[in-house]
Amino acid sequence: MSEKKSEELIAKYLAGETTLEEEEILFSGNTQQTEMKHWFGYLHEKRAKAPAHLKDNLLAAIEAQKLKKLKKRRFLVSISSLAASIVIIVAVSIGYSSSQQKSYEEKEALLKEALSMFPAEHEPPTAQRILYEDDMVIIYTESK
Amino acid sequence: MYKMRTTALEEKIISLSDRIYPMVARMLGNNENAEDAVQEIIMKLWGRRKQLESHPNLSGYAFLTARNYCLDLLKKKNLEVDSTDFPLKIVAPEKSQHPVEWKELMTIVEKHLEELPADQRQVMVMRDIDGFEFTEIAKATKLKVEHVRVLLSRARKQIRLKLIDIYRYE
Repeated sequence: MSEKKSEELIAKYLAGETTLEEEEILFSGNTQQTEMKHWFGYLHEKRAKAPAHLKDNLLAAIEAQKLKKLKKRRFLVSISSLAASIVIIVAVSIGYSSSQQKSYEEKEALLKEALSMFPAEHEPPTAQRILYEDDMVIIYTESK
Repeated sequence: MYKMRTTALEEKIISLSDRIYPMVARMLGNNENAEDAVQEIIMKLWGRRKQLESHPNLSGYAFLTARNYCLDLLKKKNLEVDSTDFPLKIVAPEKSQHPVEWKELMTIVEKHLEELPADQRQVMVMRDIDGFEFTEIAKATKLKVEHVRVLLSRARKQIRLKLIDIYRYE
């Protein structure tokens, strides 16, 4: 950087109008102005730079976090699918047994209803004597 | 093995480490490892990336998070916190400068920095050491950008005059 350019930049700096990039040039460059040389030297040392490996470390840390989350999610998915299958199995078996029970009760009720329709037929006829019986007819005698 | 993809937002959050590092290093000084602190802060931001997706001032938010983190850390360790929140802690000199000269320069400069009005000093430290943008300083100090420039200009001219006085006979 020429001395003229440097002086212009310093004037801009003192007016508070330099950009961060221009300041970087000033701080790391050289100038004939003794007091500014010292000041910029001080700032150059003082403005700490992030070490180059920091970003790589951050990237690695973020990937590790993601992997941890992914594993956690996979674990949760497998646990919840296991739980879901257990629930289904239990639900189906309960449903099956209860439907069977119900159908027994229904059958009993139906049977009772059917029987109640024929009260007379329940009384066995007195003293029947079968004379002839085939597929079509039954001939019998009855004594009252 | 598979490689994970990083989103644009994640890249942005990671790149903030360069921006907040100078401030964290200055605030923690020799007391703490600035690198570890920056990593903690960035991971914090990463954890909140969903909320930060549409944040209008991501770097401003990052600076605030970093500053609060450092203050908490200093409080926890019972370390002295400067009343202005901008303590000028000693940093080790680089090999480029002679240790004695560096120490002398440090002493002189920091004495004059301390003598500046608090608002000028704050703006100057944020700009010349922490490397903040004017808009970021304006947000943090609740001042207008033009006012920040004026304060900074005054502080820079003041420091220059003091240093001219000292180095006059060199």
